Amino acid sequence: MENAKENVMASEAKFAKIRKRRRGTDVLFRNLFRIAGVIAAMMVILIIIFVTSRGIRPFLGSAEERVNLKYFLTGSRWRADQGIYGLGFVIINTLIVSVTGGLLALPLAILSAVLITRIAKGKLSIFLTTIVETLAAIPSVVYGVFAAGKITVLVRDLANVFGISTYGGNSSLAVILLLAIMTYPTMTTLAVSGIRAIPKELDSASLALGATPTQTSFKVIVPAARSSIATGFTLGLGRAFGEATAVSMIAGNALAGPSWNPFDITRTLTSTMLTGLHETSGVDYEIRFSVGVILMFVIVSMNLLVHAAKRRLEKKGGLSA
Amino acid sequence: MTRIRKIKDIFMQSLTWVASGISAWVLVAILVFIFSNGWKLLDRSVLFGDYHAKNIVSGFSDEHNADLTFTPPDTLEDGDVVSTRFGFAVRDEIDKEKNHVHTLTWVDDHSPLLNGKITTAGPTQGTPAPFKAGMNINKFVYLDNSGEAITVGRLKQQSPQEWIPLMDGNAKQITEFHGKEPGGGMRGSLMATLILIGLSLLFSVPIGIFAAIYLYAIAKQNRLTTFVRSSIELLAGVPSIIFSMMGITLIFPIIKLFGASGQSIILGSLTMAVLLLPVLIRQTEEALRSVPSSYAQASLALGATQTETLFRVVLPSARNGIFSACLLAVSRIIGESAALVFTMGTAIQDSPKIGSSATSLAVQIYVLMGGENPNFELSSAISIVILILVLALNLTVKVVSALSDKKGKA
Repeated sequence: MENAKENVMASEAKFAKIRKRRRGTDVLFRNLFRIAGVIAAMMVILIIIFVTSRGIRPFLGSAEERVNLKYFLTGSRWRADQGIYGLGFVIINTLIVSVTGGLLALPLAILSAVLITRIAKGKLSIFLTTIVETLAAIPSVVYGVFAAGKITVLVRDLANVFGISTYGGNSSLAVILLLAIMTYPTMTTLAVSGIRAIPKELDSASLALGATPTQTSFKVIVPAARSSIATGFTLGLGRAFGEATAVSMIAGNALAGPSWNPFDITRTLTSTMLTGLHETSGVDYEIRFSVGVILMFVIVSMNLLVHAAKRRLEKKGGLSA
Repeated sequence: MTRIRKIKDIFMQSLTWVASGISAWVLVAILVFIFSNGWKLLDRSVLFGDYHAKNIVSGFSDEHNADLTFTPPDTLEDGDVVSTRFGFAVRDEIDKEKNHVHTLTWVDDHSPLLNGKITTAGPTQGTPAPFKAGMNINKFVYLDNSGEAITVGRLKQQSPQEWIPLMDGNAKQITEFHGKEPGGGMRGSLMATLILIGLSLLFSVPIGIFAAIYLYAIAKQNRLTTFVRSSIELLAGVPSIIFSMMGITLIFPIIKLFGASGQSIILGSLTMAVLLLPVLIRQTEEALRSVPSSYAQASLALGATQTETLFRVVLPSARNGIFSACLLAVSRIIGESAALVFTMGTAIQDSPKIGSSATSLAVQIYVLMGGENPNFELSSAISIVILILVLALNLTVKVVSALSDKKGKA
């Protein structure tokens, strides 16, 4: 009897030990998971801090090496060889080509999304989705090769029709077309999922009131999905602003601007960051980080702007989809 | 339905067709352009050859039997000049750099050209250096019957029609041949890409999966979680060229402590590891969420701890989704260029090393397209390889998810 009791107590102590150890493992892993989550979350803050702290360096240094911040933000000439760093026109150029490219892609994306979700059925719808997915999967350098070999030629021929000579087709227009192609898949995908998420009742109600299916698609469903469409537009614009290698192949890197003529060469924030690649020190190198800071700033402001517009749209329509 | 309504509807419908038609046309145009420019170039020597041309001096230090007669194959074309004594054929060509070259078009299996060894002094002296079809011949040195060394070949301004009969007729034995292995290959970048994929996943996948588990199982509905989620969301929207900047300013100082110096594959991998986190976390969390919660509850009810439940029950059930996440990450690495330009460098290497700069396939394209004369042919050939890899990976992801959907329904 005594013996048995002892046995029970011993085994209970053993179990308690095991339980403690297992709980210890649980705590350890829970903390590991938490650390991983926090590391991932910290990255974006670290990026902003480190790139910005490096980016403000050119504006601090000694008087003769210092870059004029006001001219950097508003200047209209970029001559790294002469130490002139006016990024103002580059910001405007970037806005022009990205927003125009995005606006060119948006209607095509919405129309394609309507076709995919509301008109095409079965295999055809899958086939059309596959086209969009394939376009989304093509890496940007491949788009760059295509742009440098085909889009520029197209633009050059078009310019010849108007009797305008181009720099081998490198131009704002070429960049706009490229960015339209590159942002189209993102916008279409988001629009498709937005339209798919619309409750069936909306569709039925519109049809019951006597609207045709096409009328319903464009007057009811697309407006109801505008939140997703706006998100897609923002994501697409983000890609357009940040697109670097493909754009730099066909931008032509204008030395002054802004370039209002679509057949003129241009210069974007990213193409500026990619020039003078072989520099590894000096202002020419450091200024790249400053351009990076501006790029981040432009993207964040654009996000906020579209967000605000989206909110206004939602208020106005009174629909929350 | 009024007639005007009908016309309007048809008009709007046809617009949707036009829009999708444009996208299909663009896709076809891209594929046609890339394949028509690159396909004819894409062969073994481009896939697995060096990028930089290499000069080779090969030959024989000892005597060897030179009294053989070879018969050329029927596949030779006009312009191929055959040496029946030494078993090879040469053609006068213009190479990519617009120079005259004498290219070997056929080398017999028993030809002495395959048995030469490097004769230039140095550590590689004596190692076999066979001359194979595809290489360029600059000159031959042979001993004639009087034992005198005679030099013939392109460097002597002789055409193949001149120097081959001369050598066949007079040579007692050949002693030395100088040639060049033409460059323009992508092997180095292919290897660098593979190393990059391996290292990036090594750093990224554990953190990505752990962070996803945190969001799935540990995170409570509080400020910290909202912050983590929106930060990861933001990270996904950061342009890749900014990741390049981050690699230089944030990661480089860290790996410098371990002795790294400047642009290298390791710096590129760490940069890519950060870039991949949002994709991995999002996909993994989605995969974890698709595991029925009854699995975890059953495991916990049986007395398993949370850790055991996660690693033995939930993660294995979500493996298809996590595998897909890794494949998407690989496809992203293969296509990435901007994030690697500053971190891995733009110097194309034939034998990439982890600690030094190299180019991935995508960056090699970027380098080839820069400068005055963009190399469309090689860029397109590499693009074909990238496209095939990326599309195959995406297809695999679709198949995997379709398969697990089927399993889930059954």
